[in-house]
Amino acid sequence: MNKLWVIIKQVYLKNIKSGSFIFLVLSPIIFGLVGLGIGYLVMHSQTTPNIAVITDTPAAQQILAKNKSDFKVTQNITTAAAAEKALRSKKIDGYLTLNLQQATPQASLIQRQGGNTVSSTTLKTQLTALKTNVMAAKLKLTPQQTRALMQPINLKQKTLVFKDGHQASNRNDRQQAIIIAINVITIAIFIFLAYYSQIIAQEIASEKGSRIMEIILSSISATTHFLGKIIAMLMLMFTQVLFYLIIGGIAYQVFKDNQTVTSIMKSVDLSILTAPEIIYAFVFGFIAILLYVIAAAMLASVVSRQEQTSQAVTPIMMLGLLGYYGGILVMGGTKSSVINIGSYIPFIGQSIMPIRLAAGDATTLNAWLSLGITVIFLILLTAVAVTFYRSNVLVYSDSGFFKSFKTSWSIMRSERKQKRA
Amino acid sequence: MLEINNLTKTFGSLKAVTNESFHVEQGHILGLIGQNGAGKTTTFRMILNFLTPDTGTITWQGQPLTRKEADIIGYLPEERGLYPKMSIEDQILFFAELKGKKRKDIRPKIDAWMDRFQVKGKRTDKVKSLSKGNQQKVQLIATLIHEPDLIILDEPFSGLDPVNASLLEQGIKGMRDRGAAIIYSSHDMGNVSAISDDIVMLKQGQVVLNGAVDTIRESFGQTRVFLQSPLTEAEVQAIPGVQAVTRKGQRLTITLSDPEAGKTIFTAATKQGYIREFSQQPPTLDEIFRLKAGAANE
Repeated sequence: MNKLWVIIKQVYLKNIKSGSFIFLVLSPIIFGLVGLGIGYLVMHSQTTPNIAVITDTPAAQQILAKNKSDFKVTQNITTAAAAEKALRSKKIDGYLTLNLQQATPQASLIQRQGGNTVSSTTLKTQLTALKTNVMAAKLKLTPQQTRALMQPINLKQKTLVFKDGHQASNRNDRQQAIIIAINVITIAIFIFLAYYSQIIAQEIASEKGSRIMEIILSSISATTHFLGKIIAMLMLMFTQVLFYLIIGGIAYQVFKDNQTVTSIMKSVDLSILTAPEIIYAFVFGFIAILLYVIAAAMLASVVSRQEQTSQAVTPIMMLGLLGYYGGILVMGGTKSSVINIGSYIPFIGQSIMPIRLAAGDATTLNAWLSLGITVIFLILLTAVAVTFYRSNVLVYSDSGFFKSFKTSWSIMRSERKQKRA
Repeated sequence: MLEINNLTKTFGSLKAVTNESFHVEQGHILGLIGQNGAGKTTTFRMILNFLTPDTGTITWQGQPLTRKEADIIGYLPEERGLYPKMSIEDQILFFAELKGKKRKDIRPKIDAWMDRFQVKGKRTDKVKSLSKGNQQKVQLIATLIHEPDLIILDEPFSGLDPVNASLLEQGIKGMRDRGAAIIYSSHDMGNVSAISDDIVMLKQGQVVLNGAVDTIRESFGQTRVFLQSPLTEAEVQAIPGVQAVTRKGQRLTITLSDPEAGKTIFTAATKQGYIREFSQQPPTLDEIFRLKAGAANE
């Protein structure tokens, strides 16, 4: 059997059974469920308040009673005394005194401390409408005139987006949604690359520290071992994504008739997922993850003990964060040549370029250029990493990380010279 | 046959190995001895292709030894390495798979190997639950179970008690009888003389001794005499050709500058008839090792 496959299988199975991987995969679902649960509790602890309406215009009580979602009107209470009594015995949460027949209509709401509260905004809107109707009737306006009077002004909004000097799209909501989606993708990618860099670094450092590496490398080439580990990391990542897709699919099937879900699904435009900007973000993200995993593997091959792993991985994690903050700045509308240059730099560009592209700040050509630079860099890095890995995984040093790194570098160069000669 | 020809390897200004040459035939055991830093591990690493020699060649059956031959090699590193959370069985199977074997071919053999080395534990036990000695045996099984033709053992005896050391000795001899070429390093000259057919001694990266154990010992001359007789230390010391005399209980250990002096000692000691012991020998490997290690560079 292919030895590359032996390595992939071993790394994959070992990690997929590990507690930390299972937790990583499940944590967003767990946190999501906890969040939903809290939201549900908050929503349901607040039930519709019961109120009484004491008014000089009985029709007003009827109209307010029709609103069943914001408050419920207890219609048999019509006097202030009865309302007061009901409030004291906690039968109602508040009562509204409404005098529409006066020259200046008046309304007052008395609520019970600890009862369910009535949203004053909704109530105000309704009362204003009521008042307008009553006034209209007094002024003897026709229903048409009343409607015209009540009609709010229709404000149409439109923001133009210019890309490459041309008007690219006038659907601003969609563009905004894309930028937000890209931001979510960038965060997800940062989490993925941080996690998988850490995992592969741990893998290599522990194998090196426990000297298993020597036995493995007496059987297979360092290149095969290195690539096997990288492929296994990618497979773990795909497993994780696939798991979310399956869980998402199942959840959708189960809850698709639920009112909340339907309303959310209506407000989310799923078609943005196929928008070019989003696809670019995914491509950038995928290459970035590869880049980080390979760099982490290379750096981890220098350390002699597992405890030094974080020291080895920290520098590239800082780069990742740098890119991430760069992306946030672009989202906030910051334009700076430093950020523009950053969007072309491997390790950073993946978080900046997709947002610049979506914000109309960069062209497709810019994106391709950045992608091209990153891919070329990835190929070079892989070649260097493999050579580096081969000459380092068997070098042990008790000195610090940077000193070991220098030693490794000189050994690699001397080995390369021998191979060429 | 494994042939090492004129290997030289430097790390910066450090000459790890200089002009090293020796060979190991199939069905032979070669002991590679030398102090720490003499170049033993560097030699192994070049054979295993971990390091590229500056000059010189390494051949197996007349062909350069490359990665392609990895499957015929069994290697036990100086510092043992196993996955602590893996079961004994999975550990052995994983290493065997890396040597190109199929799990189903190796699985039935595990029990026999565990019996042979008296590993205490079930094959489903996690490696970390085993004692250090038992982990070492598992490591050894992983090195040998794919029946390699070339076996490289870096300090296999270190940390083993006498019972386990003799189990290992039997294991190594078993592999030799199967026709494997075996090369191992050791500090313990007792083990080396017990199982090696040939030895190579390295000192500061150079071969200072190379050949069959007996031939090497004989080449130092019959300069050791063990004697139990009425002769006193002073009487022995007075004999020409005697370099040094030490007493331990009844027994005198005599170092000769001239092996011929042995005859004079024998005649003097047996003047009154029966004596309990007279044995003239070449120096032991241990003595040769000390002698060579202590000597100034030639």
